[in-house]
Amino acid sequence: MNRDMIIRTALAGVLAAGVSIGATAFAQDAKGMEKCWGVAKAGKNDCGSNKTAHSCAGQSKKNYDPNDFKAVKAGTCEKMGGSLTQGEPGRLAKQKMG
Amino acid sequence: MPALGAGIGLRAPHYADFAAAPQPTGWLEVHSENYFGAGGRDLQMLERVRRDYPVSLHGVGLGLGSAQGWDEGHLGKLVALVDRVQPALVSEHLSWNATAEDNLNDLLPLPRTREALALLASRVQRVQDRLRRRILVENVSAYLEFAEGDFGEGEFIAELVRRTGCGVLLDVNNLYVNQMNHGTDAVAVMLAVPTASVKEIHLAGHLRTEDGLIDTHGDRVVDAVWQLYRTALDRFGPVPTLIEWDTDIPPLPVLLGEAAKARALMEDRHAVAA
Amino acid sequence: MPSLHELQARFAAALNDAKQTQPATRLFSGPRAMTLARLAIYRGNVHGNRANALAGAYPIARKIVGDEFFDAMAREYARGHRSRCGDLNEYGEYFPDFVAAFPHTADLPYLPDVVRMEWLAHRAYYAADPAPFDASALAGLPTERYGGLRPRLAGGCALLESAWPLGRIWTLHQDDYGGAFEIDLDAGPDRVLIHRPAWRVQVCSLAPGDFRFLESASCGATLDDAFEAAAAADADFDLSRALTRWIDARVIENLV
Repeated sequence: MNRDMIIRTALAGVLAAGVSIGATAFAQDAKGMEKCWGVAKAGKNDCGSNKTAHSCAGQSKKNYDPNDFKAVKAGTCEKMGGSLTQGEPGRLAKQKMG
Repeated sequence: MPALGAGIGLRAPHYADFAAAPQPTGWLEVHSENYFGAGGRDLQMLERVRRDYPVSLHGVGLGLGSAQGWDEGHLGKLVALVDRVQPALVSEHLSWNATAEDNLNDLLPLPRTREALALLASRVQRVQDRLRRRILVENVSAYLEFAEGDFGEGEFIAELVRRTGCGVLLDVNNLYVNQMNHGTDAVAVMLAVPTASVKEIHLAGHLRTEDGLIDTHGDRVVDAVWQLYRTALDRFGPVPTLIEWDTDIPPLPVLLGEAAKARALMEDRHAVAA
Repeated sequence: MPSLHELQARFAAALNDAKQTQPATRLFSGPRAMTLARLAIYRGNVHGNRANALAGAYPIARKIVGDEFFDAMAREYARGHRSRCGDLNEYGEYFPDFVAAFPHTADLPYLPDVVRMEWLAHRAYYAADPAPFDASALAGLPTERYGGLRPRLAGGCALLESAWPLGRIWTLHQDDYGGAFEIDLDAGPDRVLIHRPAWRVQVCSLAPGDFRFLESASCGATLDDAFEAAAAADADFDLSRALTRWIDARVIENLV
């Protein structure tokens, strides 16, 4: 099949399916949202990311003088292991925005 | 507007509670900037609760008093959100946050000078013109007191109200924090604010440290603030009152319990509040 | 009393740099020691607000390096990148560039790509909700013009190609992931789609054909060109299947 035929066939399929496609993922995800809202325990938000950057509250930690950088890593990086020779730090990934 | 009574801040950890069942709160308040996105879960949730509760939009990032770095784009986002949500109340802080070079992302205090007052008046007017509605302005807590100024805290607010016709969101905890941090008399501030201008009251908890009180919104309202709240109710009437809790957010019933306490005081002093 | 502009400039300088408190201290009443302590409270506020925003946008990077290290990174980031916006959700925009050049995480070479993925996920979280597929452009169009149609992706959809297993890293760090923490960093290149069908951001690893197809579409390519690119990456690329799948997933929102 040549390219034109492939494209025509594919779009004919899309047209034939009509409004029925495009609903599944949204419906499933929306169902997930209902479920998540319904079951999350009070005070524990386990429904994905919790982004609430803004508040008008003050912070309890004072900050006199930023020191030189001397923090120690203590996260999942310890569990990720693997050979870290591949790729170089700072290498730019190809990135495209929709 | 019908009496809103006592309300609470809607915070993400409590989304599930609101989705599961109606909750006994008169209204809900959110921080405007958390809903500046074009879509997504937070906006969906806000529009959902908006069907069942009056909503108040409380801005934290506009920086009304920044001499430089005023951002019309930020105001534009607020205008779009207000159009979308049609809130019962819209409020901003009497603070600044930006210079020409950067944004400090905090509610910084202003000197109570004629210059600051003139700037605030023009900014409040600008916001009201863009929103085509009156806004409320909130007194902030301050950890530093400027060496010079032309007005007391209450007189400064009263003059801003007179010039712009804006309303006041009186944060009683902030009055208390400032009284403890600088010795300003919270009751005297209340007496200087025009009675009809106060359209909302905030109550919150704070943190007591060796260097002064910090307005953390991370605890229950203290007795001294409840006492000041009684005074505020007597002076300003059964004004819609919000319990703010932003850090170490407790289970919803704790928050609702604080709101119930405010409602009880409101009803005790003004039989009409219910 | 200095002008309001001058006063705020001095105040800001003292908050941005603890060594520049001198010009600011004279603005305030009260004993000097108290002024310094109270300035430190504000400095803590400024840092805390920004660090919270950064932690909200980069939860996986934070889990990878740990809370304390991440907090220190947030401090370093603030030193080099001024905050330009009162909307803190914009604050982390340059964090990927910062991490790519940050010497203290050079031993985690996958981290720059992880934070690139997280920024795209952050953008997707706030993107406009995807609209239902609209086939109206197809109706009545002569079939020979189908190849000139351009698939348009829903807002927030993004494609990212990496030498590291980004899809697996994403999955392992989700709060509701209950499986074993096993990962093969040498698994080879990964091509992921970042999108939000309704409320939750999803990251999925794509086959090379699907990736090239959507990547081309995201750049505004026609169906002809997108198909060409996909077929070049994968001779078995199935256009019918891809169109149905990505329309169904609310990734392709429209054909225009």
